[in-house]
Amino acid sequence: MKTKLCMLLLFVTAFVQAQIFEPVTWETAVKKISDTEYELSATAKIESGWHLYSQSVPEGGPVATSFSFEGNSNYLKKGNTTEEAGHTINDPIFEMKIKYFADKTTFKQRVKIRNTDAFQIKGTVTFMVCDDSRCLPPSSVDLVFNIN
Amino acid sequence: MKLIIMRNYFLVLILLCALVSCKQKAENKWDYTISGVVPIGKGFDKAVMSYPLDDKGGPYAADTTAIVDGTFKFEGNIGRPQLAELNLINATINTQEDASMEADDMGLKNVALFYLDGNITITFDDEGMASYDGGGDEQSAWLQWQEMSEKMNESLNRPISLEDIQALVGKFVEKNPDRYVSVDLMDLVTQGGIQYNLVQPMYNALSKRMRNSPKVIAWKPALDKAKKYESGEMEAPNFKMNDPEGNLVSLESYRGKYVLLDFWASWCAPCRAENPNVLAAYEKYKDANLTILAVSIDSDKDAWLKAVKEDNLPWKHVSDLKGSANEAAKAYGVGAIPDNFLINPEGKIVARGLRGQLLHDKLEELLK
Repeated sequence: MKTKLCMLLLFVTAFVQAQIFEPVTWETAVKKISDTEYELSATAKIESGWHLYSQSVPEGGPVATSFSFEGNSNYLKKGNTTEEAGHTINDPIFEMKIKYFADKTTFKQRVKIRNTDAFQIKGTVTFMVCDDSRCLPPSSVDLVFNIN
Repeated sequence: MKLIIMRNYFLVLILLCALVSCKQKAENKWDYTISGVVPIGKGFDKAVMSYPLDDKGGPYAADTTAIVDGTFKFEGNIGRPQLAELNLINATINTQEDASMEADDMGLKNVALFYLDGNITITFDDEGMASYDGGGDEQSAWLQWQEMSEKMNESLNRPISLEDIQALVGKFVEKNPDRYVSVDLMDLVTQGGIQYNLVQPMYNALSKRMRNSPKVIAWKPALDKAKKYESGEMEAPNFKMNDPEGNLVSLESYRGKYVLLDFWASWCAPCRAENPNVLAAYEKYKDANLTILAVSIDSDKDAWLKAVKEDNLPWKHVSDLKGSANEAAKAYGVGAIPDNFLINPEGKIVARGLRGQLLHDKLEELLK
């Protein structure tokens, strides 16, 4: 029996995944770029069918994803938090172009360190998600990056 | 003579033991043998099979085996038949994702979906599409589901909606009350909240064995809670919240009327999409003792008011502008939106989560 049903697979993966109502999980990583520069990355794993939104969404649309990093004397942020290309659609409800991420996406932030000892950078991501039939209100998750 | 009796007795004991162990085996262990046939010359060298180990939603097992001369085999046993996903891997050019995504954005190429249930042979054709032979009752039921959903897909002249799937799952469960496939499919329609009217008939259809399976036992409390929302026994928690002009509005002040307590927000596209439906219901029943109190879980007042205006919603609107920490949403245990509660003139909750046609049907039933 052959199957061509995209929908079917979508639903299958929906129940192959966790039963808990938590469609996005976050993982952090740190990459050394040079002796003084590191790249922090936060990867969102998004359950099938759910959308996570870009950091920039036109006014009047969904709530944009946002990152904040707790300042400390050990480091300086270098530039803004970058994101992937994602998917951009003309949303018929909001009548605007909205960029979202599905499945998996990574946000990156470069930092300059001012200390050679190991330390932690704490951050928070605030985000909301929707699928075709519902939305979860914006929530915040703490992120920890270990610089060694 | 005595010896013979003894021996018989002993035999019976052995038989009994055998029966018991056999029964236990049937209850606790399902054997499976998955044999695969893969076209030679496509470079597939590994097959990876992932499946849930149990019903607790914990980590998934991922077994890997080599493909030798175009064949592979997985053997093992599991607590109960589970849906497995199998991917063919071409280690030289592709990662797992590339192999399934390549030239087929539906991701069904070089992927097999089946139940770990008995002896199954999976044959991949040159296009990477899988076909299945053998297997037990669960695998047969799974193939039946695939056929049903495919038929529906072909008969509809539009994309399949969630409601279509829900109806189809209902039909399937009714036909297959004693299958784990039914229980697993019911998972789809219970994720993120149980709609009582939808799930209760499916639950009623399930066999005793399935009702006593761990997954169903885990839903039961949520189903019972959903039932309470329909029973009219549950007092609607009172709250007071400001309207846009800063007047404190109390839910209790609506006693004597049916109130649709509607939770929404400006940034919630599915809520905005549902608004015209709510408006139609309001227009139809506003003179039949229905009113609507809409609680926005916005935190931005301007965005909230703009959406009210854009969607042309003539009923009372309130919000504490605390966003997801909205006090009324907390009192009603609202997770995802849109969500709503129908409250009767005595202040009891009589329905929850009425959307689309369900909203009209319920109002028709109560107000006409």
